[in-house]
Amino acid sequence: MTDDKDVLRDVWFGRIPTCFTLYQDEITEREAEPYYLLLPRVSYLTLVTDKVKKHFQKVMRQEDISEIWFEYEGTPLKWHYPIGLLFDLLASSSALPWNITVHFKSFPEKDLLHCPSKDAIEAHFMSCMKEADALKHKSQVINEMQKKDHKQLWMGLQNDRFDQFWAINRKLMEYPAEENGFRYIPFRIYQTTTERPFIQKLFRPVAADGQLHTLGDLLKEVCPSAVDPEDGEKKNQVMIHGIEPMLETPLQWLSEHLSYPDNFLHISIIPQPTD
Amino acid sequence: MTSREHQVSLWNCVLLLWRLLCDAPWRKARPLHALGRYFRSGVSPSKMAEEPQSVLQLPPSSAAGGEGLTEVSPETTTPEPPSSAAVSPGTEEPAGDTKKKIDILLKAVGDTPIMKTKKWAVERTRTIQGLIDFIKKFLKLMASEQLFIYVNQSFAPSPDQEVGTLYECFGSDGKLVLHYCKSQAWG
Repeated sequence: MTDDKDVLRDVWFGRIPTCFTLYQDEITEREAEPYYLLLPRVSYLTLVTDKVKKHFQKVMRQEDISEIWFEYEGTPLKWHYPIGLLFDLLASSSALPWNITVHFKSFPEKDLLHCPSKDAIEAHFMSCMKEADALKHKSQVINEMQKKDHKQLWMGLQNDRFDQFWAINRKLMEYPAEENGFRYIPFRIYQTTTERPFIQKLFRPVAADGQLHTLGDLLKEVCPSAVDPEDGEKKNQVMIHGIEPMLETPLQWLSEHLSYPDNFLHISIIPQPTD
Repeated sequence: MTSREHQVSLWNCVLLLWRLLCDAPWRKARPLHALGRYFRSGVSPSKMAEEPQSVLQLPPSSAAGGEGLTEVSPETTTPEPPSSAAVSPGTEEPAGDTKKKIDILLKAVGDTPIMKTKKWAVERTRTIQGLIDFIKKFLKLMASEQLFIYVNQSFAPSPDQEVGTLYECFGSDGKLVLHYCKSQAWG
């Protein structure tokens, strides 16, 4: 059996081979070659695509360049969702590489938030962390940290430094010895079949009788439509970081090991591929 | 000074006082008639200012049926987008709870102007951005001015987050307390 610590590394270093292509209606001075990149699952699109932006701006006139945005098969990609979540939710059943279309015109105001700078990503990321700790420890752990610890969390993510990030993040994963887990599990459940952004509720890692709650318990409670009947046909996939964890997995373990750097478990419910 | 001159200057004083009253800051914080289209309530906007709680309805849903203000009872159902049926399927909440509006309490931070009406009933599907737009209009802020909303005086939920979700996770005593600020107040 491998050490559970290895899971943290595997999650952190997960990559998605991606092909970026410029949208056909963008005006270029010469032909824009596609650009290939391995995207870190745990990061954010606008944080890791400086090279993509430069690549396409080279063939464009200055006046045709405005805020960059990305789209996959007609769906604008939210930069404030982690990359791995976007892929699991929208593209996990299609062949690799992931084909993302790059736009500089007609920013879809309705669907996307603007990302004026890296500061906007940092503010969003830290806010998610604070929200997660509000659920886990009533904000006690994140509030006791110093400003430089917060900075180290962000710099760890920005520079893809696993050790730098986890040196601080492990504190956010601790809980009192007399408890069997966090106060509440920070999770968000996404479905492509609904208009809702996501489901997020209060859910404890331990049941009243002391039993550990499992992933299956969570789904039955907050998203019963996602759970297939035991004797029935499998209609949905429950995916985190590109894998389908067993529904018997304790939720507390998942929260400690399969959360994204923002400390949330981002769970995708997607229709079972037919082929 | 002749008596006629005296009269004119007195009249000027009255006019001046009247103008001062009209421009007084406490009037600005009131839901004036200009904001009427954002409210659907049984009372006139001027009376509403005295009410501790009002029904907040932002432009996209203002076409939906209106209803009385204050107490949000199970009977007061509001037509909501069809997707809202999926808010929270199968929890222990009583049926119909997902359709109920939630109460939010808006508190100003620092030098940000206060709103006389602090407590509002809001649709669960309303987003933080929708709230920001509303507060900015209410306080007559410029479109270019920033407004931040905080939960628990600690984190700023992303603009596309729904207040219903925040209420379920961070509400207490039957309401969600949100702080708003023109500058970043917390981290």
